[in-house]
This record gives sequence, C-alpha cells and structure tokens, in this order.
Amino acid sequence: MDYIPHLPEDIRHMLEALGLDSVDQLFSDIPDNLKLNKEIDIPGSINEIELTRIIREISNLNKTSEDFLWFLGGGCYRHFVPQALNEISHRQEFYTSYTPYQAELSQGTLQTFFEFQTLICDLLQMEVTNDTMYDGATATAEAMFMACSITKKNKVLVGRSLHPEYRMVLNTYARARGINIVEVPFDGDSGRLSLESLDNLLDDSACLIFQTPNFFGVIEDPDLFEPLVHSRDAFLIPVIVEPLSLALIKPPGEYNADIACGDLQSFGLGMRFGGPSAGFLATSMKYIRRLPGRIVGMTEDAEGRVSYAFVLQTREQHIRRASATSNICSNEALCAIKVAIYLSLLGKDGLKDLALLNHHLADLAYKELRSYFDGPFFNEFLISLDSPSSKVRNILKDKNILTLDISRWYPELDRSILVTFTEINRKDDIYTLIEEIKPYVRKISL
Amino acid sequence: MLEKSLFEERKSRSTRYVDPPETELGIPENLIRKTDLKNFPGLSEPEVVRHFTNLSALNYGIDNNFYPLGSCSMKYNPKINEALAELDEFVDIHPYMDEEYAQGALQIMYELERLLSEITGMYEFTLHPSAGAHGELTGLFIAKAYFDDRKERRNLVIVPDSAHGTNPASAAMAGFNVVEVKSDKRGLISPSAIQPYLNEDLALIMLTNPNTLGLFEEDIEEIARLTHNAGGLLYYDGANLNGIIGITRPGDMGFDIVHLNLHKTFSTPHGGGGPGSGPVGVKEYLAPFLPIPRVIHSDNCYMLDYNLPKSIGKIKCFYGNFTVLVKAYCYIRLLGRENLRYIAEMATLNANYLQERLSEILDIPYKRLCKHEFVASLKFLKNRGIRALDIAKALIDKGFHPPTVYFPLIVEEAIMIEPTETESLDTLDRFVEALKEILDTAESDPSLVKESPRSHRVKRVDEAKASRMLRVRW
Repeated sequence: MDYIPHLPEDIRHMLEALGLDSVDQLFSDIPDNLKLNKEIDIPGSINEIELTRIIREISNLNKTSEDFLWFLGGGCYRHFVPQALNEISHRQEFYTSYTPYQAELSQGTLQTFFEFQTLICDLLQMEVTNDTMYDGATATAEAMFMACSITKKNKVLVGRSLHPEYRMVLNTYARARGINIVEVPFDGDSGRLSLESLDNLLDDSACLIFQTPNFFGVIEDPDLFEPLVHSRDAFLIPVIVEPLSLALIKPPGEYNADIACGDLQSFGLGMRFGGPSAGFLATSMKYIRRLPGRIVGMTEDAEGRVSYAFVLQTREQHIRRASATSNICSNEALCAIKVAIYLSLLGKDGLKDLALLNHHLADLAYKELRSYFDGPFFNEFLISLDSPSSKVRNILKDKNILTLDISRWYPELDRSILVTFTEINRKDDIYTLIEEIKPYVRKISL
Repeated sequence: MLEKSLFEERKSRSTRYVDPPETELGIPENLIRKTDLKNFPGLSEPEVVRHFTNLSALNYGIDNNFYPLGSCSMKYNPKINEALAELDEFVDIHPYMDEEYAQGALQIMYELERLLSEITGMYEFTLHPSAGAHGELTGLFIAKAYFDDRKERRNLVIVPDSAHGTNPASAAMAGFNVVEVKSDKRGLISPSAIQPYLNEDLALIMLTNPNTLGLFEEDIEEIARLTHNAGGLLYYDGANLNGIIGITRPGDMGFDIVHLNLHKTFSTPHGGGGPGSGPVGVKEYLAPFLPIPRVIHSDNCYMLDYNLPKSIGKIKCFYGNFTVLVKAYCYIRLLGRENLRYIAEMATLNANYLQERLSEILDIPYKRLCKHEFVASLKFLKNRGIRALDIAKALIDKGFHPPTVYFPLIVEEAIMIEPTETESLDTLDRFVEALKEILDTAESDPSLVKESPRSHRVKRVDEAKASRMLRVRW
C-alpha cells in the first residue's frame, strides 16, 4: 500500500516537461556504484487489513496494567487520561502540523503553548518556562548546562536520591563537556538529602540538583538547605518527576529555586513504555535568554488583535548555530498541547482533589505497612522488608501484583520495595497488596 | 480576539473527574503549598473542548492542503498508523514491566532496528533519541566515546555552510569545535574544501545528502575516503533521506554514523514540533558505544541488555519515544520493499517538475537535477521592496502553507520547497499558478503583497513586538 497519487500519464507528462525519458534519469547524479542494484531486503508491501492483523498479533504479546494489581511507578505513572483529551489532541490541525514558524497559520498551537506556559508557571510558581524538552532527564541535563554556563563553574552536585536514569543521562551529557558530577548521599533514616554531606561538598559547585518527592517517594524540605546552597553561589535545581504532587506540596518558586525541571508524563500523556512524555524547564525572567527551546509570547496581528508568536529565536540553533543555547529543535509539542488540555479539564479544584486522592490511597497502605524511610511521602514510598527485595517482588509478581525492586540501582536498599498509588488503584486492590506483602514486612520490634 | 484566552474571567461549574477523599492530610504543614493555582481555569468539559477545538481551527495541517516546507518532508500521515499506535497494549504499558510482559513492544523495537539498518546500510540502530537534533547529539557522544577509547583527542567538527543549524549546535553542545566550510559553485562540498582540516584534530564531518539545496553530494566517496584516511568519521544527517531512500544508502556512501528523522521520511506526524524520533545507526565498530539498554533476541525471547561496558550510557529515560516508533514500523511494513524506492522516485519527480515550472518565474541559483527539494532566490523582488517573507505570507491567502524561508543561509532571500511524494500533479500546478499570480501582483501593486495575508482570518503577526514585550505568560 502507498499514498502516492500519480497516474501513469501524470508521470509521463512530468517527465516530458523535464525532457527526460525515465524516472531513473532523475538519479543520474548519483554515482552508479553507489546505487542499490537490488530491492532493499525488507518484507513486501501489505494493505491496511493485513497490517492491522499483524500489529494486533504483536500487540497481544504485551500485557497491560489492567492485567495486574498495579503498584508500579518510579518515574512513569499510571494516571487517568480524560477521553476529551484524546479526542482533541487527535485533531489533525494539531498533530499533522509543523513547528509553528508561520504564526498566521499556527495560532492554535501558539496560543495553546502560551496557555501551557501560563499553567506550568502557575503550578511551579516560576516566571518563565519553555514549551517542553524531550523528557525530564534531558530537561535536567539542560538545566545542568544552564547552571554551569551562568555560574561559570564546572562542578555539579546531584542527589543520589535522584531517579537513577536521570543520573545516567546527566553523566552522559556531563562527560562530553568535562563537567564533574559529585553525588550527594541520602540520610539513612529520613531518605532525604544528607545535609551534612551537602555542606561539605558545596564549595565551587554550580548547582545542587535534587528530586522531590525523590526516587524513594520522600518529600524533601528545601527550606532546610536553600540558604546554604545560595550562600555558596550555587543554583538550586529541583527535579519534579511526579508533577501532580505540586497541587499539594510546595512548588519550586516558594523556596527560591533558580531553575525547575522535570517530567509531565503524569498529566495525560500515558505510560507508552516510557515515551513520548515531555520535560519541562523553567526559570526566572532574568535568565530567559539562557533558556533553551521554544518560548511563545503575546503580540498582535496587523488588525491589532491579540495573537501569539515565538520570542527570542536568536537563542536558537536555526539562527545562532554553534553559539545557540542548545541544539534542541523538535521538542514534544503535542505533549505540551495535551498537558494544557489536561490541566484545563482538571482545573484548579480537580487537580487538587486528584492529588489528595493519590496521597490518600498511598496513606491507606502506609498505615498498615512499615515504611523504609521516615520522611513524608506523596503517592509512593519504600516498604521495609525482612527478606531480599528481589525475592519479595517475585513472590508478589506470582500473585499478579507488580511493584518495583530498586535494588538494581541501590544495592544498599535490598531490603525494600517501592510501591506507587494513583487514582486508578481500587481500595480492594490495596487491601490485597497489604495482605500479600505483610508476611515480608520488617517487624517494628527489630 | 481570535479565540478567547483560557484565562479570561469566566466561571462555570467545572467537570469533576474524581471525588476527593474526606481524610486528614498526612503531610506536615511546612511542606504544603501556600500559593493558589490562580490562573487555573474552572470550566466544564464542554467549554474546554470548545476552546481547544476552536484553537485547532486556527491551525493548518497536512490534511488541509499542500505543505511544502523544505527539509521537513511534510507528507501525508496515514490514519491507520495513528490508530494502531494508540492500542491499549502499546499505551498502557510501563518501561519497568518484566520483559516477558512486553514482548510485543520489544519485538517492534527489535524489528524496527533491523529494518532501519537494512534501509540505510548500517550495522545497528538505537531508537532512543527523541528528535533529529537529539540523534545528532547521540551520534556525537558516540564519536567522542570512540575516540576516547582509542586514546585520541580529536576536537574538530566540519559542517558545510548549507548545513541545518542543528549540526553546528549539536557539535558545540557535545564539546567539539566547529568550522563551517563553503559550498562550491555547484552548491556542493568539494574535496578541496575539507583538505585544510584533514589532520589529527579532525573528529567528524557532518553532511546532509542530498544537501539542503536538494542536491546530491556527488563527491561523497572521495570525501569519505579523505575523512577516513585522516582518522575522522563521517556523520549523516538523515533529514533528507526522502530523496534517496531505496535508491542509495548512507552506509554504502561511507557514512559511519547516521541519524534518521522518523517524523519526516517515515511519516510519523510532526505534532506541531514533536514528539519526533531520531534513531541513530552506526557501523559495526561503533556498535559497542550505543546507548543502553539494547534490545536483543535469543531463545525466542526479546530482552533488554544493559551489559555494554563501552556504551555512552543513557541519553534519555527508558527506551525512546515508543509509540512514535510503532507508527514508523507500521509505515515501513505498509509500504514495504516495493514502495520505499517509489517514495524517493515520486518525491524527486515532484521536486524536479516544480523546480522546472517555477524556473520560468523564479531565480534558481543552483539549477540542476535536484532530489526531494530545491531552493529559489527571491532577491530579484528586493528592488520592489518585497522580501521572501512577503511572498510566503501571500501564499497563505492562496490557501497554501508557505515553503521554508531564509534557509539555507547561502542563498539570499531563499525559499526552500519540498513537495514530497504524496502530492498530486494537480496540486503542484495549482501551487505554480498561485505563485504566478502573487508575482504578478508584486509587479502591479507591491503593497498588496507586503500587507498579506489579507483575506486570511489572521493578519500579519508582529513577531518583533512579541520579543520586545516578552509577555510569556498570562
């Protein structure tokens, strides 16, 4: 099957106009020895009926979250997606269009980006955000580059409680640029950043990058270390991997974050085996010219009506080339559109209710089980076990209960298991989890 | 006002999706949010749906009409691919599920890597990068790791002056020094242009082939030979693969690292600027440096392999923009081996036909056989006070999306036109007629062109004012 509309007589007519006899002659500029003298060795063409059959056969090899009692999170969350979001974001005017360089033909995307920026700034209490990065991890890497370039320092502190895959991405990006990453350990009781270590490590640092709620689900208290970080002229960079938490807990702007970054997957993007989601990157207006990516501003058209256009494009690769703030071109635009729709549908009260419900369901389990750390949590926490994590995880898996064993990244936490709760979990399922895991939970008296 | 802002004063009973629990909050008071979500709307679902539906009507998509943006391959996006990528079994799956529960997803990724390897003549592919520029960065990290492994310190990346802006930007971001070399009279890179840089500092030469003028780099074999003799690597920017797919392969031309834009050649939609996907293919000796994990197949089972000691590590969370990959897989399977070559043939036929017809009315500085796109210069209109941007805006009134303007930088007042293979002869002829009419108007009454768009719903948007005002939130 193909989507090429040419009739044989069209092809003849066009070749004639070009003074050519055959289509092959269109490729006479390619040296003969470089030309493929055979068809590419891939399967032959099929039609829509056959494709659907093949894809369904393959897709049926996957199980979905519906097949399990689902407590899996760790940076990718199973949240409800309103059908209205799916419907609107699948309008061809949104999904088939290009980056909105031609403002007159792109007011739909541009105004939605502006509304996205407003909603995200409001949520974070930051002054300016761009229109997404690839994901939370690459947004964090760009935040690291921004901090190093603005502070002109080369050492970066990263909490060990930051998502392990984010840390791996930071390492890859840092290595190429000669940035020195130093890990800040977590406190063994609270699961929070070790303030003592932080104090010792801060000298000459460009920034502190930490996640909250962190990878163990523990909410950090940035007020405890913000003055310390800023007193050494370092940037405070929170990473928010579960942005729903911000409907309840302190946003970055309330504790003087210099840059805030993270992922928006929770806001209507679905799990999708890990992608596409979207990263966000926000800062204060004084650094707007250092911010990578697209930013939309309000303006007017020739008749004086409010309209929208990209601003400060001279920061970007297509103008500034090797001196651009970043190489980013395509971002996750349609995801930004989805997030804007999601937050509009949920609205102020809806988002708060949803966050409360998430916390409440996690709290149900928390009250019955022993948490590994004593720091407060939002919708996920580590359960303290008296058996190896991998063993308990597998026992639960055999009962169709999915949880996350984080000891593959944290060997020191091999007596714990991460459980996550969202609005999709039914209370009965949570009671089943409690019942099944209880025999392996570390006894309080120990 | 085109569509009222979401944030303008209006109140209604908002639709509630969940019921709040009636319990005490177990989070200490000092960690609780103090500020209000003051701009968050409280609207009912029907109002939100109308708002965004009305906004979408202010956009222009491929399903509306011709979208000849150069270097963007704005081709038709098959609807079936959209539907299949949204199956629950692809959307409702988690990256940390046991591999046994995600065999279908892993199979798609594994097979797509093999398909792309065969199509490009490369040894292995990673599907992790999220976009073309992200693929470039990944490729440059791989090159860096390779040179480090060989204990070589090579810092120089060469890009042509016609290169996409992402090439020099990515090279700088990966910590390389960048030098731009001039295209010759043909619009191509000649071996003599790179000669001065063929030394122990040369890391990579990044080329797009066909280049951004739509021209095939005829000296590519000699450039590859010189690059490799100097110990450097050759990098292929796959943005323009649409002009040669099935005809010739970057791997056979001598490229060591290739990135593709699945949202261009393989028709996963652009989404208004993403999500895209920029897979990177390498020759065998660079495979050990690919990002982790790799998808492997053994004992009838697909698995994720993290055991790659020389890997550059991770360049994004998890495994790539998975549902975008599903669409590209569907596209390749649908078209199959017979039609991939047909894409390049008809894309190239369309571009040459359009170039030929427009050469009667436009100046085409590098007029020769082109591939999927070509570049015209509107410099000749400057004495009437008309610029490329004005012609672009006038096309909007004719119902077309304008071509890319002011790129590549080596052509003054450039307009860069890529019709793609999914456009009919009739569409191309209508586009030529529209441009003719606009040029006639430019002759008879230039002010009308300068004021365009005039009949379109949105009039000329003051972009400079947006940057001056810097109002970037409500």
